[in-house]
Amino acid sequence: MFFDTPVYFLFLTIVVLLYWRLGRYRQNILLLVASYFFYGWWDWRFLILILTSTVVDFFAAQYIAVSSNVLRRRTLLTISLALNFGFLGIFKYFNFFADSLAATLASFGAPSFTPTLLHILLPPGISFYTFQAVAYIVDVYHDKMKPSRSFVDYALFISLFPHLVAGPIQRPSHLLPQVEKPRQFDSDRFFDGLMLILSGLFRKCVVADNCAKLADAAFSGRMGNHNLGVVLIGTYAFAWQIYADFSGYSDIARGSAQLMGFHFMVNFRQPYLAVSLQDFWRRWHISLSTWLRDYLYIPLGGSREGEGRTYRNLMATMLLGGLWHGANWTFVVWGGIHGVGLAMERWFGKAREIAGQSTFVRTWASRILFFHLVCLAWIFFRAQSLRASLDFLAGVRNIQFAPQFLSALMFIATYTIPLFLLDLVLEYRREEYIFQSSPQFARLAVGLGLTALVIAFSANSSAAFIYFQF
Amino acid sequence: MAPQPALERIPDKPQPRSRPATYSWLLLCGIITVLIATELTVRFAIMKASRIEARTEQEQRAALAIPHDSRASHTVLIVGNSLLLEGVDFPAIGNAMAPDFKAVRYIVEQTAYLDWYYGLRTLYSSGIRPGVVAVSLSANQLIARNIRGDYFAYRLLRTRDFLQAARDASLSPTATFSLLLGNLSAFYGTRSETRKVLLSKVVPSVKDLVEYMAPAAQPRRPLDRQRVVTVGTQRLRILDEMVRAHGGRFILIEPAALDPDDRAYLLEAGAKANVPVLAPLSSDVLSTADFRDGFHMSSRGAARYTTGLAPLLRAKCAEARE
Repeated sequence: MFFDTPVYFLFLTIVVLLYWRLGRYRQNILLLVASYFFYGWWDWRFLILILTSTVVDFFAAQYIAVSSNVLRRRTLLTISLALNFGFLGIFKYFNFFADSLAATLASFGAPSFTPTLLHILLPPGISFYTFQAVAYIVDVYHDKMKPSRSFVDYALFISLFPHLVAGPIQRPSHLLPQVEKPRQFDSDRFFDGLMLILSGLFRKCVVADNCAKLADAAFSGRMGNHNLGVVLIGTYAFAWQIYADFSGYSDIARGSAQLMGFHFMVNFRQPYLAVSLQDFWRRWHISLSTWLRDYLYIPLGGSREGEGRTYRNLMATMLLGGLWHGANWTFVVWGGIHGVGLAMERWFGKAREIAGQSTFVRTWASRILFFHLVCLAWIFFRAQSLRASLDFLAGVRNIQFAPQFLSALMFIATYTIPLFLLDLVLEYRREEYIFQSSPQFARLAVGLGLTALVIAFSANSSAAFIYFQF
Repeated sequence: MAPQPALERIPDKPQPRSRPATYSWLLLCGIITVLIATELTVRFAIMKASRIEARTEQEQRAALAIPHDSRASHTVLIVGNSLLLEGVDFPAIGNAMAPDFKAVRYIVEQTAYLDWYYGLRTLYSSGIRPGVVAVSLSANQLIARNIRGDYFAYRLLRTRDFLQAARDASLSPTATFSLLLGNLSAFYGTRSETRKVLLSKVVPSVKDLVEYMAPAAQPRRPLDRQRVVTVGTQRLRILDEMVRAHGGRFILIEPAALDPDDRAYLLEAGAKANVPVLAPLSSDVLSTADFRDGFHMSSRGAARYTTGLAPLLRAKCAEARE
């Protein structure tokens, strides 16, 4: 069930109406059933996977918490991690590694063979709920939190439908206490939830889906041979598509959760206003970047073990972060570009320098520079293969311009300028919700305006949320 | 990894606001009002602003105005898609059929067999009883399993058929719900056309981008004779039975095609189903100059095709009346 379909809003309305008529325990039962219904809407067989993972992790955490035997605790942690990463590896990465192994052996002159590939569908959201489950079991292992006593509460923490298929990846310390405590109806939060949903629909249906048309045309070659004009149009269109798509999804997820009294962490903070790559990663997919920091970068040693190891840890984190997005070398290169960029920033101390002298001109020059660096990396993220990325990029040498290119750039600007202005307002007002500090009637007008824009200017062909495939 | 700000805590309740619950209700009511206003605007204004919608609406009304009794026996209902729209000079057909027959055209673009199977059911359920029903479909369109989504639901589907149509078109549960909504709401059913009209007004230069934004054309696969004949025969029989059950005669019109197999397979399926197939021009007398894009006819091709079709159609209608 996609967030931008009418059936989702029918489902959400029914759940919310029933939800506020029940007590906490029944609310959780209702949400658990609704979440499994939501997930099973794609294919009920995927439920087996998430249920298996949930049952094993729940009991593993219980035994880890009560056991004082180090070996037993470690064994249980290993079993849980092996199961979670095993599912992820088989469903998401098996074919990729099998193919890559065959290609590597062939390049060394080994007899060529056709690897056995699995013909299975990638269960939606497996990367997201796996990371959430891993965070839980690791936190319990490190005694950072007590395990949930109730299976229903834990299962709901893993499967709560607004975050189930594409995040934001919720931390156990943030969401689990909310699941375990009674929720009070808060009309402020309810109103903010509605505004988030409208903002998310605007981002997804109006901005992302319209930009997707030009991004698809440029990357698929429908705009003709790759040349500078096509590269610029394709790259800008995709940069705004992916941002609007994923931030839109996150807004609808957060808004839906807020209608039921939950608060999800903010996932995006105006990333294209970043003044450095480090700043970009504080603003882009925050739930993933903080997860990678806390469960990968810091356990690897972080910046505590000397400069050399810091760079190694940084690169490892970014490369694995890239691979998390999908089983393709293009994602690894995308992560690698960010890793190298972050390493260079650290080396030159650029981020500190900019932070120290934030004049208007320097700030905007940095924003423009880093936006384009991020755009460069997006080319690898979007293209189907490394060869396709390089072919596309090579188009910059071919300076051509057709009158339609100007129309295309104007089309992109028509949809992205409102989003950019919205981001500027959020940035300068330091708000979590759009026009949060404005009078309520003004927010009401904004909400209705967004509704009208979504109705009138949504793209006709709705593209699936990009992050659903991850 | 870059140092990150501490994980967010649940924010404290913001400063008190005036009667916030009222605003949530106002926002929800406002959203519903905007939706209702949109529905009414689409029903009464957008239909006139779009040339395609105005034409479709007018033809739908004309089809629904066909008499419900034996007075309609001289009426020929001709339905189809853009191949019919661009391939036939309809005023010329009307003139050729008059005064013995009255031709009524109803075209919905991008439609295929399932659209018109359900479309005819809907038209018949409204009570119309044309003497002859002619459906224009190519071989591929006759055996297709797709429908024109929500637009089909709005224009051609009756509500009670939506589950069966979704099953026939193998739709997902989400698309099935969408079909129902398209059937009930003019805005939802025609939103694609409505938004095209709006977008062309707001961003006039979007016309320059149409060729980029159109979905990539699927490479045309060679026709599978056995499949066209088997499935085609079965489907022609179904349409024939439906039309006969309502007192009419059914005819298939083969749109002109450069592929000779198209015509041959349709004629074979028609012969097996005992359904007359009108195929005025064979591929050996057609050239690429008769087509605008290899698929839709040019004005020259349409003139030739119409000249060939008119006497055949008239003769078949006369035969059917006897």
